[in-house]
Amino acid sequence: MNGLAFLYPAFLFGALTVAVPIVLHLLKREAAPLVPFSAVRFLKRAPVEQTRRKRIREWLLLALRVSALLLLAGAFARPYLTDAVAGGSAPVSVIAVDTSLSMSAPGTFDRARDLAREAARRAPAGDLVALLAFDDGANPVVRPSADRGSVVAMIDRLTPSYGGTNYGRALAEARALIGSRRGRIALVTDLQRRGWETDDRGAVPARVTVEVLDAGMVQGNLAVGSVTVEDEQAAATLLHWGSVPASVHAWLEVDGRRIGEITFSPSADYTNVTFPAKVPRSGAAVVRIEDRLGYQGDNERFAVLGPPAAARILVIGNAGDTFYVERALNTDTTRFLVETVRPERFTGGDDLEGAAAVVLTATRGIERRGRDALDGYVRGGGGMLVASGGDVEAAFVSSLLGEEGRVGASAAVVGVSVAVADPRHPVFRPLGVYAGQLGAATFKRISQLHGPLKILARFSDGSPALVERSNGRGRVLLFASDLANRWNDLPLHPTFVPLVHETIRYVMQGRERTRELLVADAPAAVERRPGVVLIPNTRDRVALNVDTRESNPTRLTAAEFRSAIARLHQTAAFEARVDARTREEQQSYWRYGLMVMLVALALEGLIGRRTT
Amino acid sequence: MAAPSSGGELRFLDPAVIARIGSMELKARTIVEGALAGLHRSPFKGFSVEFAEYRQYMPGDDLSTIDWKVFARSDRYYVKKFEEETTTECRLLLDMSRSMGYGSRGVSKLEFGSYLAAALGYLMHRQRDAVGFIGFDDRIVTMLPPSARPGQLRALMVSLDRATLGERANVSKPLHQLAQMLVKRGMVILISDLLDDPEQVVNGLKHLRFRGTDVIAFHVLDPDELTFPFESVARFRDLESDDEVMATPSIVRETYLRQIRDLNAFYERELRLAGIDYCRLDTSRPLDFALMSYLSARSRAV
Repeated sequence: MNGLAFLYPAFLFGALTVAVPIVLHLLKREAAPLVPFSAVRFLKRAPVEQTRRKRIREWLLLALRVSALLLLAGAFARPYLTDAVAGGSAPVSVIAVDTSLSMSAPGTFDRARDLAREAARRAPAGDLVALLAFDDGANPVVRPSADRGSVVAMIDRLTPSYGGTNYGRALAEARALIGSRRGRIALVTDLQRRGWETDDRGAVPARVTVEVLDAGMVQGNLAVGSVTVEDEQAAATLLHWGSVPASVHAWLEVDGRRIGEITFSPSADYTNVTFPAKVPRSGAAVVRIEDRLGYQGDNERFAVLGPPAAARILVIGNAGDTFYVERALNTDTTRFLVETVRPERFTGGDDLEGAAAVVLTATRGIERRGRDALDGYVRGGGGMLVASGGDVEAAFVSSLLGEEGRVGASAAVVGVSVAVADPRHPVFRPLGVYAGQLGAATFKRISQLHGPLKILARFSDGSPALVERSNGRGRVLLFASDLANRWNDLPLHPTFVPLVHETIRYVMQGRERTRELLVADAPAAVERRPGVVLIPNTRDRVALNVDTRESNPTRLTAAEFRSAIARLHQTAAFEARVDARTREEQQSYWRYGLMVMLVALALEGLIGRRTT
Repeated sequence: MAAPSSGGELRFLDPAVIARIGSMELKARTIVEGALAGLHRSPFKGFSVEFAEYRQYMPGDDLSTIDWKVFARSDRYYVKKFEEETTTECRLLLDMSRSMGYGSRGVSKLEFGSYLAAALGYLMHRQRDAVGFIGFDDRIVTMLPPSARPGQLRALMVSLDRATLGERANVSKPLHQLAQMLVKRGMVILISDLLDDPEQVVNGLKHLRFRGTDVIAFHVLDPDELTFPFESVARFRDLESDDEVMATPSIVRETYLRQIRDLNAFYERELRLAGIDYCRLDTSRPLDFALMSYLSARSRAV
């Protein structure tokens, strides 16, 4: 059942003004004098009212006046309907167990299980009990249930993961499980400080109490922070916190074969070690250390040997259109892998598969299927650079720009150059002072661009030269001339190559192929544990490693943790106010209240005029 | 008939002035003598065949009443005066319901009706008619059988003097009762505000008329009832039913006056058709108007 709440309940005190018409009504009710008369029977037939009817009318007037005041006060108080209470009113006890990497220290997770089981047993009678496992994310293992046995059984099956700690996300999920009911959260954790160093702050309403159950701490921890290979030499950064052994043994394996090892004495916060062995040019490398007391999940770090895969850039255009772009991109084959396809051969799906960006220099000849694929590619997050030269159809490019932009006919110009409009833009910022050399290029023909587009560069006649447009999740940069040395001589100038490189990098939006991912960022199809894995879509080999921030065993004190929880209560109160305001603005019942009030006043005026 | 005047001696016929005169008999005499003094033509003509006296001719007297023999003897004009024979039983019916207690000009309708009844009684008694009195509200309250005895006038005056307001009006009921009682043709004079069911009232009067009785209906109304002069919003409480009505006079006046006009027109039309003399009286106007109405009706009847 929905509840009624008010955004500004203080205005409800305004309802006390209803006393005014009530008092006036009581004072004025006998104001009309009593006149004895002999022919009242004829008055009854006249358009008048008898006193009893008059009194009813006066009460009606009073009710209308009181209603108008109540509605006015109610409208000012801004009423809104709250959500229905979900799943009945039984309180919920959520047992949230930290399964992050930091819980993998010897004995820590066993204590955590014991605390969780104890929390399940201590849950107040009549409460529903839920089990939540959390690390970077939060996974409701058992939803609110009266079956405590299943909760205890599932606690026994929990194991530490390789993820980080995110208290905010855990509390948010627990709050979602509790819903609008009263509840209690038993947070079983090692109080790792890192768990609060996220953007997910969460919020806990005041009706939900949070009990923190400390699963204990480690005296110290060792972790492999990074693995790098340069000049066939492998180096690793070993991190250590707290009390650590006097000497630590580390070894390097490539494709399962140990090729080097080293023993060192950790002194400061970290130690850089270099393995005295030649490392193969390719393969899967891993550096491991021996740490019996600290977290077990961070004792190894993987790396993929060999150069990183270049980003695949698809260039669509005719031979004469793509020459300079291909040459410019091929100057850095480690970064860009250029594939060129002619417009009439472009079919869409297969060509676009795995493409980090598309350079479009010609559209004539592209089939409908290909056009739809290009549009879908951009909307789906792809990047595209369009050179609006002679083989590019204005209508199709306009559709890529969305409803706001439009490409007009090309026009011949004389002595026109280009100037950067926004030097701080990521496309021009790397060029630095050399961006000004773009003005050395002369243009003979340009396309007219219209609409409220984001202009990055202008021609000297004021018309847009390079514009940006976000379309869906993707990004399109449109150059209002060609890149083929026909309408301009820009490809012949030194700034052409870096301009093409930075433009492509910008539209790729970080779609360069990576060689290392954190476990938390692993694709859904990949098991979330450290190792070298094959990414199904790109066929790239990627090293999955734990987040070394999770290796830091620094803890919060109980007081600091309670303070953090208190901030969440405040956040919840703030969110509740924001939510209430949003909800109230969506519902806007005050408008209806005012309308009804106006109707009441109009009726009051009509009836009142007949009474006086 | 001469129009009533507020000047000269006629001002003494103002009901408000009459009200200040002592006894009812004196009031009656004042009304009758005052009314008759202004007449040029004898109202008694044709009422009687018994000679009473000679009187010197005065302009306005019917020439046929001049005694030419006396003129031949004395070379002066004298007219013969006759006294009416007392053959008529006259009953004065006075409405004493509570609505008759309304008076906006110092005289209530009941008082006005009492003066009128007293004057008529005085006049009839002087004509040696047997006069009786019935006071009623929704039933007969007071009854004085008709008589021409010398003491009848005093008894009549006492009855009128003691007339007090009763309950709700039911005009037709006493009329029907009276019609049932009458065994001899006579005259019935109804003095009432007739604020009752008009159909019932007319039926009651027709019943009397059907029994061969001469009927005169004096419809007594207060000026307020005729003009509804109220200005401000008021709760009007009915004198008989105690019903209250909240009304704005400016809004209801037109409808009210139309209903009063319709009521009066109804009585006037229906009673005239039934051969009943109908005379509407305004309590603010002199009483001689009523007397003249009565005498005029009698002259037509004779």
